Amino acid sequence: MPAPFPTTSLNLLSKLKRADDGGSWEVSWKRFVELYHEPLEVVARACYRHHTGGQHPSWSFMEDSIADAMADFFAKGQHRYDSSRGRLRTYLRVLVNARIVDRLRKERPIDEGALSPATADALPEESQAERESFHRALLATLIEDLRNQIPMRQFEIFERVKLKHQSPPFVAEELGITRAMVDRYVYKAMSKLRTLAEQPEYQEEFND
Amino acid sequence: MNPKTLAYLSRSDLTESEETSLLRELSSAYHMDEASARSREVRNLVERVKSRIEEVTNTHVPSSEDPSPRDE
Repeated sequence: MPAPFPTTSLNLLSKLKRADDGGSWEVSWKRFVELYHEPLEVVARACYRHHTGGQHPSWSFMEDSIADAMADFFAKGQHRYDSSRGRLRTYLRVLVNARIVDRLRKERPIDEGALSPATADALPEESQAERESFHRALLATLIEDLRNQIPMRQFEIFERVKLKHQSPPFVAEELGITRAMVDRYVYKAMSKLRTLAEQPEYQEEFND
Repeated sequence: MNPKTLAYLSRSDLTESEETSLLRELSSAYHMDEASARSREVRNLVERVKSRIEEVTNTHVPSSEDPSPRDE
């Protein structure tokens, strides 16, 4: 019987969006947290401020709310996510907002009364910081997909030249290969990256 | 972060400034991910998520110390 949370993350975003056949369970929850914690923090802070008239949450409150939302998503939420009804990032916003509201309700002093349902459902406007943070997480996901879909050597050379900004002659000398081979590996990796980026899963999430 | 990044990725006739912008954003995303993998705050968050998943599913979850694809 397969383990419930294997760490395979081949084509991570596609699997997250394909919950119908259980494929989403194959996505590593740990890698997801590493890749998406930043936009989720931005969303959580915005939701907290929105529901409290501009107050700032403690880190502990944030951490608990995000952990609740992530656990909800990986333990059961993925099966409720319907990609035909909107972006993954929209679904994640709703989930984080719900967990923020849950915690606010638990911690709210009795004399302040309950949060109204209308207030609880109202999401803050998506900010520029949130969009940028989500874009960065998606690009990191794209790089992760590339890492999983091309030979390790090809990725290493792409990583050194394009992501770590090492010069092609330096990389060629270090690896004992020709400059032309370095260029060829980088070209192939960039071509694959472009192919991956053209997938609807990425286009839907990126395009505003 | 430029929302046109993916549009850039789907084109092969980029100008020099578009190419520079694309590579800067890819590099920024890569370094964000590198920093996350080393961050104590993110490790703590991973532990909390693990414990919550176990609470919700009543299932043992492999340790977050298990190597992820990034670690391999």
